[in-house]
Formats: sequence, C-alpha cells, structure tokens
Amino acid sequence: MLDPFIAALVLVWDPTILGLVFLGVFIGLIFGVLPGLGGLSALAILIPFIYGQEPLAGLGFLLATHASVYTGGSVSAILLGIPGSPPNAATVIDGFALHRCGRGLYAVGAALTASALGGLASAVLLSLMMPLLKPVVLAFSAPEIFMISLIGLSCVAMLGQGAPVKGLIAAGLGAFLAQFGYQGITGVPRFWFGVEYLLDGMRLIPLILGLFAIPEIVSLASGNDRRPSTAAFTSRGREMYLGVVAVLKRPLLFFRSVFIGVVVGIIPGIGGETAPFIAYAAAQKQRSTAERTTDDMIEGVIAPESSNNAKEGGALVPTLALGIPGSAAMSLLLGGFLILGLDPGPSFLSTHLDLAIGLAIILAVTNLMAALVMAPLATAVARLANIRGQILAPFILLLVILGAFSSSGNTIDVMAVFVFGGLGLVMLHFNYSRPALLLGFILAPILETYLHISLQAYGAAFLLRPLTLSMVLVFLLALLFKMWARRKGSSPEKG
Amino acid sequence: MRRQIVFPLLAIAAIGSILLSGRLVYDYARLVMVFPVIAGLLVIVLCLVQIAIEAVPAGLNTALQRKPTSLGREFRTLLRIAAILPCVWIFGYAVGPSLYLLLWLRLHEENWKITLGLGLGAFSLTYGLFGMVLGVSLPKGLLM
Repeated sequence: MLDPFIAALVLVWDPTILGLVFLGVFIGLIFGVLPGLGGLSALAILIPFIYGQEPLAGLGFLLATHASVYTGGSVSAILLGIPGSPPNAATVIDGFALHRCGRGLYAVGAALTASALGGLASAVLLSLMMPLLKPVVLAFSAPEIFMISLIGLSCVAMLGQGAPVKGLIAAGLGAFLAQFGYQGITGVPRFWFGVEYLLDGMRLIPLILGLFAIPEIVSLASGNDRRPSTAAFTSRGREMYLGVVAVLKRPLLFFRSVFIGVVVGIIPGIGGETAPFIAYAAAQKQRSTAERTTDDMIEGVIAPESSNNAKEGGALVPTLALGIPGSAAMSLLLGGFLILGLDPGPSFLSTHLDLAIGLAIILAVTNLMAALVMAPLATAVARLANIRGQILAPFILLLVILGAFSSSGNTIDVMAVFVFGGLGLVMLHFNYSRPALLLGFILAPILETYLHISLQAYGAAFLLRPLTLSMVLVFLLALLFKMWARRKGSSPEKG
Repeated sequence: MRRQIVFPLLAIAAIGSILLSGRLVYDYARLVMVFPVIAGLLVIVLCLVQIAIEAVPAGLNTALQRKPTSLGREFRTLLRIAAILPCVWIFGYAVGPSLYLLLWLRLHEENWKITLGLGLGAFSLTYGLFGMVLGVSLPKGLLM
C-alpha cells in the first residue's frame, strides 16, 4: 500500500529535482507578480526547456512554475489591486479593500498561508485518493459540467454584495462579451463585423487588465487618496503573523474552500478560474459593503486563495487519470508529458503511480516553498504603496502595457485594455461587480458548449439526471441557508 | 434623468443592436444565435428590472451607492494615460513606454534625478526583462 509513496519520495528526494523545483518556484513567482503574465505564458515559454530531461525533473519544473504563479499573483492582487493572473481576480475584491484600510500585509499573510496550506491539502488528498478517483472523474459528463458552471455563474448574485440584480447584469454582460468570434460548436464567426481581431473573440488578459488595473491606475494618476496609511507598515512581521493566524482560526472556511477547489479542478473543462469565485461567493456573508468588517474581508481573501491553489491538485486528476486536461494550463502540461514520452490516460495510474504521486508531492513542496519565498518579497512590494500615486501610476501602466502585449504579441490587445478600462471605470462608478463580469466571460463558452452537448445527447431530460439534480438541490439548500442566516441577522458560520 | 439608469440603458442599446444585427444583417443560423439571444435577453430583462428599481423615488440605497468622484474627471485621466499608445506607435515598445514615463514624470514636476532613474529602470525592465530574458519580440515604432 505504501510502496508507491516511498518510491515517489525517493524519486523526489533528488538534488537536481529539488533544485529545478526551486527554480520553477522562483520563475513562477515573477510571472505571477507581473500582471498579464499568467501560468499559461510561463508554461508556454518554459516547455521547450524540458526536452531530454528525466520525466519527474521536467514535469516537476513545469508544475512548480505553474503552481507558484498564483501565489505571486495574490500579492499583486492585494497590494496593487491588479490580479497577477486570472484566478487571482477574486482576491482583489477584499484583498485590495483590506490594503486600502492599511491591512495589506495582514491580507498577504492570510493569502500566502491559505495558498500554501490549500495547495498542501489538495496534494495530500490527491496522493491519497489518486487510485480511487477515476470513477469520480468519469461520473461528470456534459450535463453535470453545464450545471456546475451555471451554479458557479449564479453565485455572482452573492458576489454582488447586496445588489444581486447588478451582479447578474454584470455576469450576463460578461457572458455576452464572450459571444464574439468563432462559435465553438459550429465554427461560424459571430458578431465580428468585418474586424479580423474579433474573429478570435475578446481576449481574457486585456479584459482583466482593463477591468482591474486601469481604474486603479486612473485613481492613482488622479491623485485620489486610495493608498493605505503608513502606520500599518511599522509592524510588518506582526501583520503577516496575524494573517497566518486568521487562516488557522477558520478551519471550516479553509477546508470548504479547498474542497470547492479540488472538486472544480477535477471536473475537466470548467477551467481553473472558476474555483476561486465560487469559493469567494460561498464565503460571503449577506452584508452590504458598508457593514463589512475586517473579519468578513479576510474571509474573502482566505476562501479564493485556498481554493486557487487547491484546484491545481484537482486539475491534475483528469490530466493523469484520463488524459483530459482539467484546465488550459494542464493541456500544456499534457504536452510536456508527450514531449517526455509519457502517455497520460486510464493506464497511466497503474503503470506510473509513483510518478503521479511524485508530482503530487512536488505540488505540495512547491506551494510551501512559494509562500516562504514570497513572504519577505511581499514586504518589498508593500513598500510600493508608500510611493506617490503620480509616480507609481505610469510604472504600473508600463507593466500593464507590456503584460497585455506579451500575452499575445498583438498591439490591438493593448488598445483593448483601454476600452475595457473605460468599461471598468463606469462599472466601478455605478457599483457593478467587475469580478462577476469576468466570471460570466470565462464561463459562457463552457455553458454554451455543454448545453448544446447535453441537449443533443439527452434532450431536456438532462436536467433530471441524478447527479445534475443533486447539484441543483445542494445549490438551492445553500441558497436557502444563506437566506435563513440573513433573516436571522447572523453570519452563516464562524469558519 | 437619474444617472444610475445610464449604464443599464447603454447595455440595452448595445446588446439590442448587436443581436438585431446578427438576426437582420448577418442572418446567423438558429444554433449560432441561440446562446447570445439567451444571454442578451437575460441582460436586457435584468437591466429593465434595475431601471425599475432606480425609478423608485430617491432612497437611501441609491444615495449610498453614488460616488463622490466625477466620472468625467476619471475619463479625462484615462485619456491622459492612453497617451502611451501614440508614444508606443511612434517610438516602439522598447523605447516608447519609457519615454512616456519620462514625459509623465516631468509634466508632474518630478525632479530630474528621479525622472531619469525611473526612466532608465523602465527601459531596463522593458528591454532587459521582457525583450532579452523573456524573449518577447518588441515591435519597432515609426521612428525607432
């Protein structure tokens, strides 16, 4: 029973592999902190470097780079208000709000701890359950994927914080923005109006940078005092420590978010960006923005960050067990497997269980290492907050421009950043949820494709499949519970 | 007219015209139009609900949501920061952003020491990190 674990530990306990993992962590953190350069860019740039390496060394290097991107991204999300990578967008909402209250390092401490422990928990779960997970993955077919995506999108009403209609409008707008360009099912270009750029649809990176970074740059450039008081930075260590304690004090919230991350990660096709939003929505208490306390806000940091790193463990499952990538980044990792002569799929776990568990161990080590490396660097990033906005604004703008351009090599993406920036400003001004729009944009293609497949395969009866019905039931129960908690005037839980 | 209804009205106008163009001008097939119509109509209905909510005589909710900052002022700042685009177009990606940063800092009366230091830092970041280390191909501008 323990043989594969011992074999995997022996494989991982190699100075070359550990050295490559450390290098991967370092590179991943840089990619994470820089806006626009997400895990996908990192994997795409680094994949040629694994040619000729040992399987665990090459794959461990890629996995370490990819997994640590989100840890780096959480720091720029909290301290600069710009998500380093798409899944960090959910962290911006409360993380940046805490930073503006002068509690940025408190949020960073919580985010790094939640990331490290979330990744660790999911890796442990993954290695323990690896042999048992195949039937679970196979149980999810098109109707279930459609339903869980729809439930994820419905959660935006909770993200709206007291304005569910506005939250849903934003989500719907996001879904509508995703309708431009080639349709996934028929391949027909839709609403492209003769503009070639629109054939591939609106791009995710310019949308994120426009919605989140541009309003922040405008605010800094306008001289609006959105910077925190400097008092908070006189006790950096203590603030970070309080953040660590905040996570440890909320085991229920943490494990629930890890569970959401692992489950959403396991389901192929949903994409890793969804998990943090669902975890965030699940952690929300029904209070208006004005009523929210530091405790509420720190939960809005812990939940997405725990699920964010946990989803990577989950996403490895379909990649290894079925050869179906759980996310876009996993499809690149799958390419890495093929480069190294490995063939992930149903037989992989029986022939290479030690390698699979080795990757889970590397994932766990990576998450801990990334948090430990990032913690001292975060205080340096936090010092940026003391720089005058008029100086900081053009510098962040430079990063945004370069990030947008390097994500696709297309100058129109850079212009699109400003168009979406205008939209972000209007939404911020009128209190429409920007993360909800982003989630709608991410989930719309998944919803459309799986709705079509479900209708073709089962007709309208797909809604009556046991697993689909159970999901709807659980969602409705959760919704009722939230409403009950709201009426009672108390929080649903004290995680 | 209440300012809060501007956004839903704009959303209705934009989505409505895009959907109509898909149906009347491009005549997309039913399968191609089904999902945009569902998403679009949902947003239009929700926007109408929001307009109805906003039409209720001024309440505490709306008063709380109104921001003290001026949207017009923010858009003027957006135009100022968008001036980086012509800079990039004329001087290319390697030099343009750094030059914009220099201009920005001088216009905000920052001292030369900081201006030149940051300009050099920005150029190192652009050319060194993105151009050399990450191997991003930085297109040239009209002049350089």
